[in-house]
Amino acid sequence: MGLTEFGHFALISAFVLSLIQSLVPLVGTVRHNMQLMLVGPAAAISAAVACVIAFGALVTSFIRSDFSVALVANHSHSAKPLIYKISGTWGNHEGSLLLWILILVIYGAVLALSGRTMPTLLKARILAVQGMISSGFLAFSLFTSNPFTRLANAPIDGKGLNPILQDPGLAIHPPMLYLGYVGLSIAFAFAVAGLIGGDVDRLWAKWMRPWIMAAWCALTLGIALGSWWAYYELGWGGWWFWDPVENASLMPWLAATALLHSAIVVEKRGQLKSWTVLLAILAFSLSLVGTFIVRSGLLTSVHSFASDPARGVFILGILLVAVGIPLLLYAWRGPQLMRVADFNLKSREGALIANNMLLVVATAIVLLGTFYPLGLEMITGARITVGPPYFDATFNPVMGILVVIMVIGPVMAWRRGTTPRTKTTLLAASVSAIIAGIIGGAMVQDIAIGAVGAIMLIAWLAMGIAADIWIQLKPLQRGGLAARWHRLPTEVLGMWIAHFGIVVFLLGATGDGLFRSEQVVRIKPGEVVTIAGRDVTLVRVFERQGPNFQALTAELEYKDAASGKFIARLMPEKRVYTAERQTTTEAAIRPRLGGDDYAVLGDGDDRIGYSLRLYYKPLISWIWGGGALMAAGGLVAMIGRRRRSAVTAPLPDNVARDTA
Amino acid sequence: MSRFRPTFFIPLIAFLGLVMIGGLALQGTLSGSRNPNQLPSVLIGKPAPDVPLPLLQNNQAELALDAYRGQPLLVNFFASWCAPCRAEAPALEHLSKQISIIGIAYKDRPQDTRKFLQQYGNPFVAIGRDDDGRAGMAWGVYGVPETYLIAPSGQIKWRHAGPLTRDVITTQLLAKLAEMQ
Amino acid sequence: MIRSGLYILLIGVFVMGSARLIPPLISTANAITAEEMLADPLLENRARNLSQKLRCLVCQNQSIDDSDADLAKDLRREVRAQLVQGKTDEAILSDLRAKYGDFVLLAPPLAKNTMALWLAPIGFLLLGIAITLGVRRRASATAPSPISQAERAQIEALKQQHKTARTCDQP
Repeated sequence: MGLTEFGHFALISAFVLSLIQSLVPLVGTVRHNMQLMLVGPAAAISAAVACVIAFGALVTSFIRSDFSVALVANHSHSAKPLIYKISGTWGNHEGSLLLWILILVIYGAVLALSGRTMPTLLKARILAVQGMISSGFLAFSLFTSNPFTRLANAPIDGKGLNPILQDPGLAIHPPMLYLGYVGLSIAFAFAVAGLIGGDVDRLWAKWMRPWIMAAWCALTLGIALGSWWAYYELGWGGWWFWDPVENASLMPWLAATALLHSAIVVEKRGQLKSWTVLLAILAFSLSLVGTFIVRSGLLTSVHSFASDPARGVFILGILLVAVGIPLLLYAWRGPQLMRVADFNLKSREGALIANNMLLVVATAIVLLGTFYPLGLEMITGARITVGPPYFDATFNPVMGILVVIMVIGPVMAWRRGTTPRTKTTLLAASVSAIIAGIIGGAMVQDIAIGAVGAIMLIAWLAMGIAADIWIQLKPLQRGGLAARWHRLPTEVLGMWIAHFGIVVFLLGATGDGLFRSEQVVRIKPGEVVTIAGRDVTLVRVFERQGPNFQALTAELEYKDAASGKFIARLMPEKRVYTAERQTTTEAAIRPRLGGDDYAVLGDGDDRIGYSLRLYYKPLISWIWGGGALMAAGGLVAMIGRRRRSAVTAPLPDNVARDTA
Repeated sequence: MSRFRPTFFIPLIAFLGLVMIGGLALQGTLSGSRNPNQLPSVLIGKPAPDVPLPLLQNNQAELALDAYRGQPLLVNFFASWCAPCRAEAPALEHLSKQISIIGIAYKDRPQDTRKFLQQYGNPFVAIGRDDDGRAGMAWGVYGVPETYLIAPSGQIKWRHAGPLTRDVITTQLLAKLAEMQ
Repeated sequence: MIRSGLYILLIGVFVMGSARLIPPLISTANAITAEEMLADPLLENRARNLSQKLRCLVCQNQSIDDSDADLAKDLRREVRAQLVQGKTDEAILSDLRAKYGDFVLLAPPLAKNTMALWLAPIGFLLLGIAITLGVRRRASATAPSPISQAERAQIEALKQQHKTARTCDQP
């Protein structure tokens, strides 16, 4: 039996184990049978092992270029570099689905192994829900998208991979994104388990939060990676296109951010329970909707896999069951979780509610914009486009209001009123915003009013965070700065880092958006163009042979215009990939903290000259730096919690929990 | 313990609405009644655009669609550099016996067009040249091949983007032709 | 004082959204070549703004400004030709709409069938605000009133008494 068949068998085993994981523990919870409930963790771990074997088998086939496997034959090529043979495993529908499943079951296994303080009953329910999801997707893979099908006559070589996908950034982007999407399934399972058992309380939120954090961090990084990849690969310097599949990743992120914040309220105050449960269900549902968009062939996008509407039907079915039933459960059991609100609107809780409200409104806007063309086509047959101008007009203002709230929230007191910090922080932030607005308006000619608004928002947020930090670290009579620093909960540090990440992101987006320079020229070798204080000489244009492509490369020499000092050499090129007969443009980028030099080569020859597009994009890498900071903040907050909760002893199952 | 709050059903209802749209769209795609890659023409029911084009055979003379009023007409945008155009050549040859077809060479070079016609046959009663694509723009052409069915009155009745396959001809074109009789 | 600061900021934020109606400060010419550009910088700027509103029909979700496709090039040329003829921005957009349909516009036009699309975001926001305020109504029955001056003095006194550095703020 070949490796492929073994992998196939492992996948089938995983499916059976997942089914067991879905049903047996649930029976155990109904019958209060501890043995049955403990089958949950065992099944979860076994299923994960089986999936690792299955995935390993598939990756090995790709590495060995085993063209008797249909997937390898269709999506790989012997001339591909090794790393892209490996990443080619998930550069297609079947393989990426298997990766999705792998991450799902590993999350389940990690949950099974950790969470020692969790009552067996809750854990059993959570693992059962997880098992149902993995069963559904394993069924989808085995019955419609089997990665292990063999070809009767193995071709001599494969059909290769889309050259645009042969890229390090793109190798990492799907796994990171899936870590996020799929991680939200745990929060989802927590919510459904909570609805079934009615035991949604502060401890429930406490156990759930690290999982939300982990998923959110991964999703933040995944989206940032995708955006960064688009910037340097697609050759026109854009970094977000409001493409349906991009929106499909943004929506779960927005919901997860809201969830992150509302779970805080549940944990600290025992409030907003039914709302948090709903958010947890919605966040993962949006992940599933995203899966549907990418794999069903309904919406055309740069991201869509070779789409098959028949598969779309299966996913729609999974969607209906996986989301419909929990939402029904929520409609029935959710009201029982409601508690009388014991806080004033003008409080920390109030600000967090505003945060949630704005994030959900933003999610709704993106959902509407993404699905409206489809809906309209169904009803009237008309075809319209909902593109970036729509989202800029509707989504951005909502986010702007959120940025305003971000300064107010952390300095409000729980339950009611303001703290001594509030006045000082808001004052400092307002003053900074006004000053920044005046400076911005004066410095840049013909500046759009909206740009001034953006600058003011950045100053508001930056000063708001700085003031909060300064006040909390101000030395008091007792202990110095260091002592004060150590007494601050790590979660607060995480919040500051993450919120500051947003400042950095906004600076990058505004810097590039407002102060970008460009030169579009057609020049011959030897001629010079000036851009952003640099003299750029086109030294020569030559052909070169790459590992699996032929390229036309331009050599550009950048010198400082004032001093003549050499700055850098940039080599943009146009590549033709021989196996796929595809042309790509490789922009040459010199990334620096202050800004990127960006050069793109067009067509031409030595006689009429070559078309060149040169840009200088100030602060643009801060966009992804900001994203990384946000994720880092989340990571810090997560680690901090683990250090604190390591002190807590496991709770015996028969002890009544705090059901406030 | 039963608190019943109708507002809690709103997420479920909204979700079911979304699923319905998705389901309908899927069904449409599967049955072939909708194709996300095909753009419907907005000129259906409007008179065919009258953009003067030189003839392939004779630079000085112009292609006049008016000359063909009073009978159904097909206008086919093609090019020598277009692979699917070669695929639809036999279909066009066959159709030319039933209906007059006018060809418009889209962004092509005359010598290449002639070579193409020599190799794949010439089903056209007249051939115009749209060297820069501006005429195509007036028709709403966004790729080749594209075929327009024009009624005897001069109105555009149907547009197909992509090569004419047997399936498209039998299920759509012939039906539209029958309507015109 | 704080409230007025907040209002000024909120106004700034809302106006930021309306910035979309004003031509951007620097627009990008992302796929354009030197010879396509018009000599008159004002016309060229208009051309780029218009190009960013038009969709490349053979690409996925790209504007004709960003796309390298042949059709995008043709459309860019057409836009510039019409600008040189002296047509207004609206006339050019209408003309292309008449030939290619609403699909060619990246932002859907305000029409009967897109009314819901454009009005819904404001609707969502208002609904969200209404629901949030509704929480306040439910909360007001049992919520504690804001801390009074007397209570605050009591708190300060207690804090002095216990000389602890901890405030009541939780993260």
